[in-house]
Amino acid sequence: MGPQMELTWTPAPQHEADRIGATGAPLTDYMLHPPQAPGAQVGAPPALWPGCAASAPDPATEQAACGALEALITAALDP
Amino acid sequence: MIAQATLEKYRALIDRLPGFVPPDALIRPGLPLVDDPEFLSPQALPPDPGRCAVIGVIDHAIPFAHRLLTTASGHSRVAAIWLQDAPAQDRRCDIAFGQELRGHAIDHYRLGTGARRGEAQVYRRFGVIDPARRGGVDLQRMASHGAAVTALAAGFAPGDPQGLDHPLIAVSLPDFSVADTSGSFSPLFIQAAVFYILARARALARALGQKLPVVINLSMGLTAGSLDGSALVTQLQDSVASQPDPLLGPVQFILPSGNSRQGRLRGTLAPGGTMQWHLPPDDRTPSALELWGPASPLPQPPLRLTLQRPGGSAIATQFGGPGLARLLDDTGHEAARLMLQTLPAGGDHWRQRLTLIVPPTRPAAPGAPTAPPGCWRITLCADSPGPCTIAVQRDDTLPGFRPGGRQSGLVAEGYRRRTPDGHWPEADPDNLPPGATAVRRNGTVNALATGQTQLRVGAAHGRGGQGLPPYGGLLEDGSPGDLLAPADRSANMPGLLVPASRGRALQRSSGTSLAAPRATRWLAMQLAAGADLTDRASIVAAASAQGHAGAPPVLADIGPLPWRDGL
Repeated sequence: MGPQMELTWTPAPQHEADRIGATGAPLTDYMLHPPQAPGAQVGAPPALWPGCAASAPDPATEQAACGALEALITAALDP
Repeated sequence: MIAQATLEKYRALIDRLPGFVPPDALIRPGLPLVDDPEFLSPQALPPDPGRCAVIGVIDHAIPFAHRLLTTASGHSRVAAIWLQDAPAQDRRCDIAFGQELRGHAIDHYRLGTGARRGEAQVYRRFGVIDPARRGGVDLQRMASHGAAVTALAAGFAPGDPQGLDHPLIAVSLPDFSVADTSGSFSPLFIQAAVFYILARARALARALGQKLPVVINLSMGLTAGSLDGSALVTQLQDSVASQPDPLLGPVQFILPSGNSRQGRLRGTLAPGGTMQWHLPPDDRTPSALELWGPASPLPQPPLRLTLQRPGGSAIATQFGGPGLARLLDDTGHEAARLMLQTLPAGGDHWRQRLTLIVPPTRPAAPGAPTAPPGCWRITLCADSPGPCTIAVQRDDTLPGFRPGGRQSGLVAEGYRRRTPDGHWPEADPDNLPPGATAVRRNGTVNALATGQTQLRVGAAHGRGGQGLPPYGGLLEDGSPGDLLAPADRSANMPGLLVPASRGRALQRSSGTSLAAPRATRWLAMQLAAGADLTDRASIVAAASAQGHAGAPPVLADIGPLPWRDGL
C-alpha cells in the first residue's frame, strides 16, 4: 500500500449535473464522460467499444436513428 | 410517454451511435429501401391462427438458422429477427441500426437453390459469422446464451406440428450492450427490442387476420435499482401487459429472478452504520454502488456518507441538495464520482439516490485514473435520513467475452456465507431487524423484474424441483419468484444440457436465465390452447391447477423437449 492519499470534495459545475438530470443514469453518463487523466485534452470523446473509433456526436446519425426509433414506437404502440 | 422518456434518457447514446455500433451496422443512405410485408414461407405459417401464440425472445447471439427453429420441410419458423449489430444490408423505415431478417428471406437463401444450405453458410451470408469483424461473442462460437434460451422457449423438433403454432419474433442484442453487464447501455436496446417485437407481432396479426397472444422472454438481469418498478424497462413492460392492444391478445413478459443471492450485492445501512465495499483487483470497468434513502415527502435533508478508501483518510459528502461532485486525490486524479438525485416514489413521496462510481482497479491505459483494489469503508452519518438500501451494480464478465468487469461486493459484520451445517442460506432469518445494518438475501431479485405484471421465474433442482440452487435471487418477501423451473440437475450437478449454436450440439449451462424460457414455452402453449391468462395471479393459479406442485409452483414437466436435457 502506498502513502495515504487525501481526497478532496470537488462539486461539479451545474451543467454537468444538468446533463444527467433529475432522473438520469449517472453510470451511463460516467461511461460517456469518463474521468480524464490530468493534462489530457478536455472533452476528448472516449473510445466506447473496441474497434469503434472514439466519436464526437454525429447529428446526421442521431437524426436518422431517432427517426427510425420513433417509427418503430409508432408501429408498436399506436392504436 | 414511457417510450419518449426512454429516447430522452438515452439520447446521449443515440448521439454517439458510431462510437458503439460497428461501422457496417450503421444504416447508410445508399442501401436499398425495403418494405417487406411477408413474414413466413407458406410451409411455416400457423395452420390455425386462432390456436397460435407468438414467442418473443430478446437475447444475444440467437442462432436463427437452428434446426429447432425450422419445419420438417426446412422452412424457418422465425417470423422476424432484428440482429442489432449485424451488418446493415438494406434500409427499413423503422430499423435504426443492424439488420432485420424475415423467415421467408432466410428460406430464400437456404432453400432457394434446391439444395439445402447449412447453418454456417446462412450465417456467413448475413454477416454474423465473419472473422474479420470485431470480437465478442457471435455465432462463430458453439456456446451461446441466446441458443440455450431460444431453444428452451421456442425450439421444437422440425417434425413437431406444435412448432407451427409458435412463430418466433426475436431480437439479438449487440455485443457492446451485453458485454457491459452494468446495464449502462442495455436499457435503450432492450426497450427498442420490445417495440420491435410488438410492432412485428401486430403486423403478423394483421397478415393472419387474427389477434395473437405474445409471450416475451427477457433472460437478462441487473442488480442495483430501487426494486419499486420505476425503471423505464419495467414501466414499459407493465404498461404493455396491462393495456389491451387492439391487434394482440394478452402480452406477457417473463424474466429470470436473478442469480445474485449469494453475491453480497444488496443490504441495509442504518444511520451510524458502516459497511465495506470490496473492489477486486484487475477490474477493467468502473464499479458503482447506489444508496437509496427512505420514501418520504419533500423536503428531505440530503443523504450524508463518510467514505474512506483503502489506505486513505475519511471524507464526508457535502451535498446541500441534488448535484454532482468528484473526489480528487493528491495528484488531481478523479478517485470517485458521486451524484445525489431525488426520484419520485409514488404519491407525494420521493426517494433520494446517491450513486458512487469509482474507476477501474486496472487502468485502461497508462496514466488513466485508477481505483486501488481493497475495501472502501462506507458509513451513513448518524444525522442522515435512513435506513438506506445499499445496492452494488452488476459488473462481471460474461462467458466468451474478453476480460472486462470483476464483481465488487459488500462486506459486513455478522454475514455468514453458509449455515453452520454447511448449506447455502435461503431467505433472511426472521430475527434480522428490517432496518438494521446487514447484507441481505431478500431483495436480490433481478432489478429489471420488479414490475407489477412481469412473471419472475426462479430456478429449481431437478425435474421434481427438489430444493433451490444457491444462486437464485429472492423477492423482497424472500420468495424465489412467481414460478420455478428446473435449471440444474441437483445441488451437486449444476446445470442442464441445452442446445448450442449449431446442429445437434449441446452445451451445459445453468442459472435462472434458463428457468425463464421454460415458463415462456409453457405459457405460450397455454395461450395457444385458448387459456384465459391475463395477469400474474391467473398464470400462477393455472400452473398450480395443472398439478405443478410447490409454492411457488415448479414447472417441472411441461412436455418433452426435442433433446435430452440431462435432468
